[in-house]
Amino acid sequence: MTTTTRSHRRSTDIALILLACVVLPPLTGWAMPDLLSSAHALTLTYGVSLGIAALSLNLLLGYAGQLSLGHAALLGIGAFVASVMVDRFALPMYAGWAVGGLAGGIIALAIGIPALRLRGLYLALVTLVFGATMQASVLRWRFFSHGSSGASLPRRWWFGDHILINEPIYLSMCLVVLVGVWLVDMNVLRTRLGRAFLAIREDETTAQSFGIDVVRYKLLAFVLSGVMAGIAGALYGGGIGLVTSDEFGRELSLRIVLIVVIGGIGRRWGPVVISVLLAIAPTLPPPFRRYDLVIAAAITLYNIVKLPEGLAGFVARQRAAPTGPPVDVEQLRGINLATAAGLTSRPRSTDLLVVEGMSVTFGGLHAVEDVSLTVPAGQIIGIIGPNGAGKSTLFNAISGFVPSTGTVTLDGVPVHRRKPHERAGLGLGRTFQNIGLARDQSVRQNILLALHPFARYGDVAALSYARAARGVESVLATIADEVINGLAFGQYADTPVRQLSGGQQRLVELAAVLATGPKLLMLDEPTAGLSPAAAESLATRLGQLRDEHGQSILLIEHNVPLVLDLCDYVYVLNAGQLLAQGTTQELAAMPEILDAYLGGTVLA
Amino acid sequence: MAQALVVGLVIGGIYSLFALGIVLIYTGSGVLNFAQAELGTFTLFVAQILIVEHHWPYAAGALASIVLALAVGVAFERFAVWPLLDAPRVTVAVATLALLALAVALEITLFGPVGRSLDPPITGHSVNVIGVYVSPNQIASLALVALVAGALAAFFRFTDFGLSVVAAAQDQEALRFLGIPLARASMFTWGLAAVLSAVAALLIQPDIGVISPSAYSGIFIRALSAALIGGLGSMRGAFLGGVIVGVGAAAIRHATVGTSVTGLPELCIFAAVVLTLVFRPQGLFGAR
Repeated sequence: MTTTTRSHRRSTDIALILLACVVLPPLTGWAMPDLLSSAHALTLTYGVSLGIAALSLNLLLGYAGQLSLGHAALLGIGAFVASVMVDRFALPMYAGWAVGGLAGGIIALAIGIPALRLRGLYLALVTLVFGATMQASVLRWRFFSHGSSGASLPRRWWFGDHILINEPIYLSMCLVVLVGVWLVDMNVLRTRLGRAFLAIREDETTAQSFGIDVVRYKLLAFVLSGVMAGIAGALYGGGIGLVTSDEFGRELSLRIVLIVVIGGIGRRWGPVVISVLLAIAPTLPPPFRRYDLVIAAAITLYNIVKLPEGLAGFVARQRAAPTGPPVDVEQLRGINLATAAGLTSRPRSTDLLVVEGMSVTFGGLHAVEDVSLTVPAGQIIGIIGPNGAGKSTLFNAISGFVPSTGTVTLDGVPVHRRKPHERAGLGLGRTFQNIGLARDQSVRQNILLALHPFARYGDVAALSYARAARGVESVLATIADEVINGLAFGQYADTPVRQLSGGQQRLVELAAVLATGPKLLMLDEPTAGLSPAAAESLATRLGQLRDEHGQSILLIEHNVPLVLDLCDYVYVLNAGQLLAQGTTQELAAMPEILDAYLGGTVLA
Repeated sequence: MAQALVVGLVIGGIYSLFALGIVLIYTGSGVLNFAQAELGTFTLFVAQILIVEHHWPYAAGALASIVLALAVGVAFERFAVWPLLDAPRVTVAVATLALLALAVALEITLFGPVGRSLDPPITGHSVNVIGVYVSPNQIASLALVALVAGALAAFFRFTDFGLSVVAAAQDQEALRFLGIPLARASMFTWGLAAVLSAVAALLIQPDIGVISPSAYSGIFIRALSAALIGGLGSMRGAFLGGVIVGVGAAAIRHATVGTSVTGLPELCIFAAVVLTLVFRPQGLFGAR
């Protein structure tokens, strides 16, 4: 009930904003021509299109963590393509915006495919060279700019020659587009798209373990950004009426980066406000007019060194209070499978996971050598061994994070050639020794992230927040609520994971993975950071999950008594090789092994 | 054609100096310095003002601009790079972007958008060397580039400090054990890169002629392309990459004179960078 009222109120809000955008500027221009002259409207139009460009870069940099230094070229392409549509083909300007945006997206896709396969700053490098190349070559081609004089881009209201609109009305339309882009941006953040972007920004490995196809989502972010940039360029060109390649160079690209960094990386209001301010600055009295870019650059430099998250981020961080209770024994009883939601698909094979002849080498070092193991469905299998035995490497190889030789079969499906996110999607859920969560995100967001493989709706449905997306999201939100309630975590649901204690983080990670109903649960030292009582309670809970729900678990653990108590079968790993294996009774009869390799902890 | 190739070789050698600075900082701090070329452009403006408006001798003005670059490089390292030692590298890269923006903005506001001119230090007629005309400036430039490259190669191979700067790229912990303070190595790399930038800007000025903010904006792209093609982690790669880009661009320009397609050299360099990144991300001369 409350959600429908809220969404109803939100759509009224949007209608009011749109109405204000459409009516206010022309009305002001007519009633008070001094207040909103053509020149002022033009300045504001520049600010608004710069704002859309800033939102575009913000989506890429602030959400997905990828930097583009050639954004001006994407704007330029949008503007020139719009000019071809409107000036040459005599189409209305909306066609120019649409095709300009499309062109920006296509070019972004073409650059992104080679550049985004590599991690790190490569997109920044390629877009930088791309931007300079476009300005020096393609944008100067006769086809676009008629030599150096530039291409005309009339504000054509409708088909035909003489129906042009004036500056204040054009400003209204740009504002409407800004609101539209803003809404799409909001939709990105409340669907799986935004969650995937933010997870990638924090850590690509973690994102993959959540089943996120990192390359695809980075590409998607860049394409969306390219579309927005193309539209911004078309709007900007229409404001001036003339498009020249000189405007879409290095200075503009830099300006957009500065705007996002000053306004706050990952925020919306900040970059838009700074965009408008920077557009107005040259019309102000001298100190601002002359030094606007100098001031902006200096503030940026100061910001990065002193407040790396940007101004808006700084404000938000000041508000957040640190918190972090220890793990409560009761909480552990609340960890549950997502059986109620019907997400789980139970295994078909009796041998759920079969690993054969697996080896991992780093340089000349054999980290894992010819290891074979089997996890029968419905059992808990333990892996023990001294530090550096290769246990975590074995886990990484099974889940696909390090390259290995040998075969891995999950529920009858060979997966050793699959990428990590595909293995996760097939029901291989795991935790990490150093906790695989997006730590800047809230507990709720992390659980939703883990549910990523179940967020099945199209990208277009996500961007428009269509019914399909809303329906799935509300189901996922319900599951997340159940998980949070199960952990008695209500008051910390919206707290960034970073602020929780280590044990609590581990608990959230475990609960998030379990919420996806994985066929196989792989746990890397789940009791680290827990009190002895909590560790015992966790073991009890894991045993219950096996006994009551048939959950299969592969477990790395240092706590040998716990392993012998809980596991059905145990493998002992030493120096990358299997040293021994057997049921817990059989292993208990080999004290010399436990003694020699595990420091006699068995007697403890 | 031969004439074009010689000009390309001279300019390519200067690109190499910029590219060396990029690689030096990348190996030393793991950061891409987007302001690597602009710093030299900025100090070139200062040299021009000292020499032309204040009538300093060329050598004095040039030296002053190099000293200024050194000061800015070291100051930036102290103010922005060192405090961000543990920050993600992208943060430091954005800081160098801000430095770039600051330099560009200051050039436009302080020195004006109008181009300035500066006479080259050595005048005289070009010499005919087996059918190719080479100006004294070009000869001096080639000689200086070779000298700097040789000196740097010797420094990084034979001196303890040079070796340790290279080692810092691989393992900063190891450097601490070697007893060489990381802070000094870091400051040294940024200072050296800044000096290289200033020297290279002075060298390339006679070829570009007019000094204006926009006239020099393409240099960084060429230098970065050179570093990417040669290999971001390899100084030898940066050097050869510079020569490849310089000679390649000159050859393409020579071969396509009169075509209606603008900017073919730029397009080809972009294609070469993308192809390198796709098929050999470590660069032509970089070790994997």
